[in-house]
Amino acid sequence: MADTPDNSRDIANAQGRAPVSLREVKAWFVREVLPLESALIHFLHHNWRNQADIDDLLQEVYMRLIAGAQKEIPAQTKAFVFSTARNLLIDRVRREQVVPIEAVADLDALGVAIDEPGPDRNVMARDELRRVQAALDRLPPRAREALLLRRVDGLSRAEIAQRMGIGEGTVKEYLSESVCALADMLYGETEIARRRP
Amino acid sequence: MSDRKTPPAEFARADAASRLIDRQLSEGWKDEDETNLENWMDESLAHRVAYWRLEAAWEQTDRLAALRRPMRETPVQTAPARNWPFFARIAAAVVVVGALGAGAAFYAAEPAAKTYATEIGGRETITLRDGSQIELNTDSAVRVALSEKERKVWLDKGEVFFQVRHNAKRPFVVIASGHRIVDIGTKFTVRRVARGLSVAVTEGKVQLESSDGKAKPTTLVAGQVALADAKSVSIAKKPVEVLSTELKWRTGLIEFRYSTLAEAAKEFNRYNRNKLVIADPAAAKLTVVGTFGTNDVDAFVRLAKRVFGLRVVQHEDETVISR
Repeated sequence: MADTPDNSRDIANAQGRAPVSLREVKAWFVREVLPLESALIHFLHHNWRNQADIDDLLQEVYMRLIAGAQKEIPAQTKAFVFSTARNLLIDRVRREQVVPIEAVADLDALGVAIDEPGPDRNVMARDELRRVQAALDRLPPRAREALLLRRVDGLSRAEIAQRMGIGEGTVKEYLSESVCALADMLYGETEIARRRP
Repeated sequence: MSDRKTPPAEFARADAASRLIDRQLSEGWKDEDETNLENWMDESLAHRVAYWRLEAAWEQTDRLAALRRPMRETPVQTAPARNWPFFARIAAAVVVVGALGAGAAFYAAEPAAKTYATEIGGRETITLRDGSQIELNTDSAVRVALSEKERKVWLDKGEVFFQVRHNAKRPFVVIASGHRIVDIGTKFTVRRVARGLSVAVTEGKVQLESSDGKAKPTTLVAGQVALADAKSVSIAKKPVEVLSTELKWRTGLIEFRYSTLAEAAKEFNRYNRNKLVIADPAAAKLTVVGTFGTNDVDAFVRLAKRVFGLRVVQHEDETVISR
């Protein structure tokens, strides 16, 4: 990783800042950004009319955050996350002329969420095990079984297939399904149910 | 949506899930697979973000091992429900999950166990009531369940040295990565590695079995090291002095005997949160000899600077060493 040059790093160097390693960016993303996901989705839902765009908007916010963090890890993650989201929505409105003006509820109000208190990390750490357990209980039974056989018993793909009487391809499907659903439940859950195809 | 190269979130996510599970399930993950994954992540930040997010969720399920059974202050003695052979009981427990679809039923199927764990850089010795000793190396976790009929230890992560008081009527069994190691009066080390485990016997002998009972059990004697994954077991002989070098961690030391700088850095990284990164292929091949404290990264960094004349750059969570 350290020896793959990229533009953002060159720019950072040119400005005399130390480049930020991908490893640091990843650690920051997992530790500080993912816990804000449900608040971020909430924010996007409330401020963007076309709900079918939410997943792509979220992806784009994350991409901008990562690109920014590669230059410098922001000191105020929460403010950075929500101002990035706000700027993205404003860019969209300006660029996509077809977007009706009421697509964005109120551009000036977009900053409001920034002042909400962030998640309390201590409480989160204490709750994590319970959250994982609760999320697990809501997985489809077969997907959950495959995940338990892998993560608790450490069985191989072939062993899981044999125990469950399914093909190895299906084992992979169950595990993919499990990890996607878990990520949504652990990070992206809001009171507004997310639509998944 | 914004730039033509960015895949829709739904695609990036499905692709990331597929790649993550391949990596987690692969029994022969190679450097080229890793390169492939890196290249895919370099293609678009959307890929990278989707992968990081799912990987973080996957890693959260690490905690599940702790849920297997209720935790108690003292291991309690629980008679097995029936006189079934051991793996029949395990198989029955797994069937319960399938039938009821309830994790809780599965966790309760094992006798109450006590969990012991160390953090990165930590080390701990536990003396069990039968006089056997368990020494946990850095970043390791075990669960111990003692019953009248047997003594069971699950190695959930890391590396552990066992000194077992032999008792033929009450076998001592270590369970890890789909394998069982049954003590036949001995001292041995078990370590979980990328896709399986390594078992090194320093005294006496042990029997290595697969949990499903399909593969033929293998007997390991002092001086033998077995590497076992889901499909195969390979056995090597190591001189006693090499084995004792590999056990220096028990006194808080790491000894390198003609290791490459890359291997040495990897070994240090097991013990320290600040990770050493050797960013230069030529530097990675330099040979290291010497004994260090497991947490004494500074001494190692001084060696890199003064003896090898390498460049060292400190970051928040890593130390990059290059020419």
